[in-house]
Amino acid sequence: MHVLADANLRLNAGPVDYALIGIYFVLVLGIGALARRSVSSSLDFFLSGRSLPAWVTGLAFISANLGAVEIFGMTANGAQYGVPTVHYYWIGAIPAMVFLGLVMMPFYYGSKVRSVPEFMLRRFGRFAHWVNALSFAVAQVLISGVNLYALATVVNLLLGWPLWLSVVIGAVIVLAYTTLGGMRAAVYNEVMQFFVIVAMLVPLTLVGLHEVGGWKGLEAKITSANANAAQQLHSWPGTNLTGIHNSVLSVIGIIFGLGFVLSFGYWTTNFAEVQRALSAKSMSAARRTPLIGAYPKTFIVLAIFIPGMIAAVVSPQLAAYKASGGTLNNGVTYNNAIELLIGNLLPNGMLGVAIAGLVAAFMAGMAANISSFNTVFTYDIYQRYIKKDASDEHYLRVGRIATVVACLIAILTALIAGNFGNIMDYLQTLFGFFNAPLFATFILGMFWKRMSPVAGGVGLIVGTVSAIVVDRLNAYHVLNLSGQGASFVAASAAFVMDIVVSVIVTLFTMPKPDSELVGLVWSLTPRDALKQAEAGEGGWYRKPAVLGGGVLVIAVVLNIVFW
Amino acid sequence: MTDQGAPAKLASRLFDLRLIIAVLFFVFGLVVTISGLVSKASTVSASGVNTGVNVNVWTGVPMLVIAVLFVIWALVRPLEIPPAAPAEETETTSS
Repeated sequence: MHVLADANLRLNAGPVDYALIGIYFVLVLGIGALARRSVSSSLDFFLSGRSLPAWVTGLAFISANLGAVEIFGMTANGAQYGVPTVHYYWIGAIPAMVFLGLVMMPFYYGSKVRSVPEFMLRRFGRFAHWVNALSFAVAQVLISGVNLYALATVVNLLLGWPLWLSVVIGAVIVLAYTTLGGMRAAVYNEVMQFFVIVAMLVPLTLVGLHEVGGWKGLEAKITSANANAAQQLHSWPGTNLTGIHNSVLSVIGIIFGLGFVLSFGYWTTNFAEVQRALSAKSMSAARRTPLIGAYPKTFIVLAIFIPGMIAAVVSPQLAAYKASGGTLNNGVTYNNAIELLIGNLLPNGMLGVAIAGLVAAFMAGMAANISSFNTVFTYDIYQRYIKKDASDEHYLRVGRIATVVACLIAILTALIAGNFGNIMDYLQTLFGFFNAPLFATFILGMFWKRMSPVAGGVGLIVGTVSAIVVDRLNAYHVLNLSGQGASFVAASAAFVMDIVVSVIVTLFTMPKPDSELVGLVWSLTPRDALKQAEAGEGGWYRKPAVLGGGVLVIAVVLNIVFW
Repeated sequence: MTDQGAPAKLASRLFDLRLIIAVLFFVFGLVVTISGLVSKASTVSASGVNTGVNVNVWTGVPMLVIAVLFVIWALVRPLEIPPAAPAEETETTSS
């Protein structure tokens, strides 16, 4: 087996490819410059003046997540585990997005909060607010740094640019359009990025399938190359994905750990996502945001896990790596799946579109992190605890400065991120620590009016600590979970501990008076307000329940197809 | 949101995201299709694998079609000027 250096991943990008990438950047910055004219208040800057149509916020909603984690992590999962990767979508994301649109959005949008931490403040008071605002702000800046680092390593591999150069250029471009045009520029760019990413993934999937002789050909090649081919070609029970050998426990792990706790936690409480819906122009549009986003989300996984599987067949290096069980040190890993496939299949021309798509994915992710960070920092930390009654212009200026500072910290994080191993694991771990307990606290607080402010704060801390404990136990091999199972278990533990502790603490502490919880708790929200949320904007197909039900049916059908 | 004034509305009319996406796909589609028609190497990938498919033409033409569809959408349903105060929404509380 010949040893392969990084140079083997180098793509022979030609003038056409650079021209296409250049055109893309011109449009990205152009959107920033155009959007600047629509920013006249802090609400314009942070929530785009609550003016965007549902299809725009819906696509931005999934694009904000279609960053480094998604494209590289999920094609890597496709290459390594095969079909079970779909659980991140059809069991994970879709039900959670439907739940957000149908159940939780009336509280978020209806209560007129400007951020998720602000909701925490009104429901649970200062302590929970601090915990949430601070942990979210720190996590977003760190993750944007990781996104930036991932971007730089990819550009380094593909085009040979030095790391620091790509880090700085990437950060400056994101900084330019987010400080100029605020949320509208971020969202518009996310929508455009979504289309560029699709323009990369769909041709790649089709050409790849053509190359391996269709789905049947891919099945045959996977079967002949892998001892555990059956696990890779069927979505259930997904034992290779979870690392849990017992089929029943594996299914429970996927449904409860990944589907319920991790995904509901991520999609329903992560402000980087929810912020997109809060930018919508009406309650109806806000509720439809995650529901409209769910449709492309359901199908895009096909253009993610299939290229991953194909890459492990088509690329000789990756095939050799996979055959060795991931132990071969030949310069490639599963994380290189998409780059290898692009290099193997796309000619100059489409190559430029694909590189633009990859860069778009990173910038979408980073811009989402940065734009949600500056909102939480300005509204929830600065305005709440540092300077309360300043003019709106002042907060707009603070928001812009916060964006600059966040980008600088992201650059620093990116430059030291090389010390952390697998980016995907690192991000998963972070999400697991913060989001799972947050979801538990939210869901309990929304439906149990008795739940006290103290319980909200203590539950969050205990939940987060529980996740860290499980993670450490696994790291020191007290628990033996390979694959992604560890994060499922950590998230489940955080969720359960949060609920248990919150209930116990509530029983010994004072609840908030009912009058302060109107619009925040299910039983205390006037039925009229919820009825109004039911009303669509004309057309039966715009009704949230119809949209949500439709996408769930599609997810179930696809699940059966890939059983 | 309350009234933003006439100039802002005109600006947002010119700033229709659908047209920007149409421009992107038009330029991408044009460049990719032409390089597919001009270059004999379009069936050969960047790392020298012959896929036997002219990937550039097969993706460039659909991109042009998508560009046209976005233009049609923007023409058929132009950006509406939002009514001053939508009756079903109570959006006057924004700070």
